[in-house]
Amino acid sequence: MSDFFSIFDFALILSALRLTSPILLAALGGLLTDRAGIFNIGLEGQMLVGAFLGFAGLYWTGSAWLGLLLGVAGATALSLLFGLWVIRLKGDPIIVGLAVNLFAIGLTAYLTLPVFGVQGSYDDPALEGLPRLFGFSPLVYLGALLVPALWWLLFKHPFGVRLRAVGEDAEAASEAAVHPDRIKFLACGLCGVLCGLAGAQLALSLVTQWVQGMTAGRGFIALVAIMLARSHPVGAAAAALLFGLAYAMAVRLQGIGIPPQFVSMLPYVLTIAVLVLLARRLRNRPVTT
Amino acid sequence: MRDRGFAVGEALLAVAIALAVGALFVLIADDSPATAYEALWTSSVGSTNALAQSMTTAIPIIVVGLGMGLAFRVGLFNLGGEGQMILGALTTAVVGHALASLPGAITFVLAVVSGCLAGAAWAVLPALWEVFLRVPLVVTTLLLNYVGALLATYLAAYPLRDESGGSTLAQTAEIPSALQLPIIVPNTPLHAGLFAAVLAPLGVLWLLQRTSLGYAMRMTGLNRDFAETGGVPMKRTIVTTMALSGALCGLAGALLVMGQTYRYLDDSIVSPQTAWSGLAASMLAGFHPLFTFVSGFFLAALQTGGSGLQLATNVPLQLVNVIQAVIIAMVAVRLWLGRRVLRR
Repeated sequence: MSDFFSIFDFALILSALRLTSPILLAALGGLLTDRAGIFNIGLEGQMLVGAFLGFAGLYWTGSAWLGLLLGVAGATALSLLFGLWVIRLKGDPIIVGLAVNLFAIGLTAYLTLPVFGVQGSYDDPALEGLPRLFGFSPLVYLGALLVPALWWLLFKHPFGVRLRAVGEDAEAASEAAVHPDRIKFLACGLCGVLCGLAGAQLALSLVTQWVQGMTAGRGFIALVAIMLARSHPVGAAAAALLFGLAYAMAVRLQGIGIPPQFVSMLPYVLTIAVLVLLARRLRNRPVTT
Repeated sequence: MRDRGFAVGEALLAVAIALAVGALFVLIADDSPATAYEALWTSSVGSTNALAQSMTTAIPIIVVGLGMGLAFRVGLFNLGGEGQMILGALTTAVVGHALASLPGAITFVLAVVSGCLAGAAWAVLPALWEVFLRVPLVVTTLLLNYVGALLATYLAAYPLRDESGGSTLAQTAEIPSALQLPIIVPNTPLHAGLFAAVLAPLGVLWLLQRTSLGYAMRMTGLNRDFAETGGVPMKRTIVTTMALSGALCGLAGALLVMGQTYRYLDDSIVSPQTAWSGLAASMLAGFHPLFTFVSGFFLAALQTGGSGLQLATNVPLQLVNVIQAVIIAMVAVRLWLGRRVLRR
């Protein structure tokens, strides 16, 4: 038992902040589409493409920054494709989101061989990830800054007003001379950018390597953070921190000899537990089954 | 009937578009689409053995597709087929091994039933959360996939690990021979589980068309509010549907263990995307149980062909996962059209 308590130290907090970052960035992205009235389970796939192309960009150019750019571009393209399918072709968001996730898994696993010349995962110690400022990648700071920025955008800026109007009642919004489709596409585009950053934080900073399926459900956990926060940036940040802490604890518990698979369950079990225990918070929001 | 013809046309169109996208990806891998698709064809349906292999792969795909599709028809997005199938497979393998000393028939029944129950339990949990707490089951079923997969890996790697063979893989001990389904076409892997894959669609069809529960389920799928006003007990219908859905997914896992792996083999379900192939098959079939058999065989042939493809060319077998995702994206658009027609 003393072993268990020994994991709670300052290093755990630092590690939790790093592990929070991808969940937070994806949650902030998904929050925008959610506010526009689109239930987006495709965050997972967008992150995965961001991670893959982010690392591939680093591999091709030697620059983590160019990798980041490529990852963001790829995730945004996928998110806009999701938008096209949902907004214009009127596909069911859940099924299209599922298709996005499966497409991302298939695409990245397929391209691993032609791009890196191996199957599964690729790692080259010579490749250098994103630089660190006082121990954190710039994306950790960016995520933290985006919380107030998104709050301002959503509640103080005309775009946020329009976005929320579209999400609540697209028809009424269009009567008020707002173009709902344009706003929704913009939300999808921004969501893609943020998910691309989330993927880059995974593959260019937390580790500097590509591992097949490395997002491992973080997009769904981000989705839960959005639901618990009722799409409020500050609440989403709080939920993301909790889940980041669970990831950090999982890493440390492996260090004291608890089997890895057992420990890896922790973030998912915690996410479900929080969802069930705080179920009352979810009410009043549009039912999204 | 006209409606059905339309759906078949749309399904074929979705497949054609997906194969065309697949051809583009073959070009990315620097190979010729003609050679790749020829290899895919030869190794999936080009010989008796390949055909039998594809049919064998189709068995769990069809059954898990029926399970997930049943929930979808009722408007419940059960995205947890993977976890339900994994727990079904693990439970059947463990119970089968543990009860090996009992008479064969009893072991057989108990192992299959416990596999179905494990799958059902993994599906009922999110259904109860949905019904009583309004936690959307689409999210909880997805998250439970990860919990189920990690739990099974942990159990197969530590407490239930088969130490006898000195295998480096995480796997449980072999199930008794009474539980191993007999091969029905000599010198091929095709086993008696095929009968389950034939009977299950008929059973689901009977349930939906001939029972009052099935009627309540179909009405709920068409319009939940309308069904509730009409006297359908909504909570009970949702929980029962998810239980049946999960039980079928668990059965798919049991069939995989009893017909192919003869034990729970770690990662025998997640990597081949068996559950997702099942869902894609079910969607392609417009959630019709009998057409699911056909589309399930098609997607299984694609899976089988993928392995041959990787051997014959330098195209990775994950090409079939890309094709499968495109099929779902294409069908998603049609599903909505179908709904709009119904609403007007």
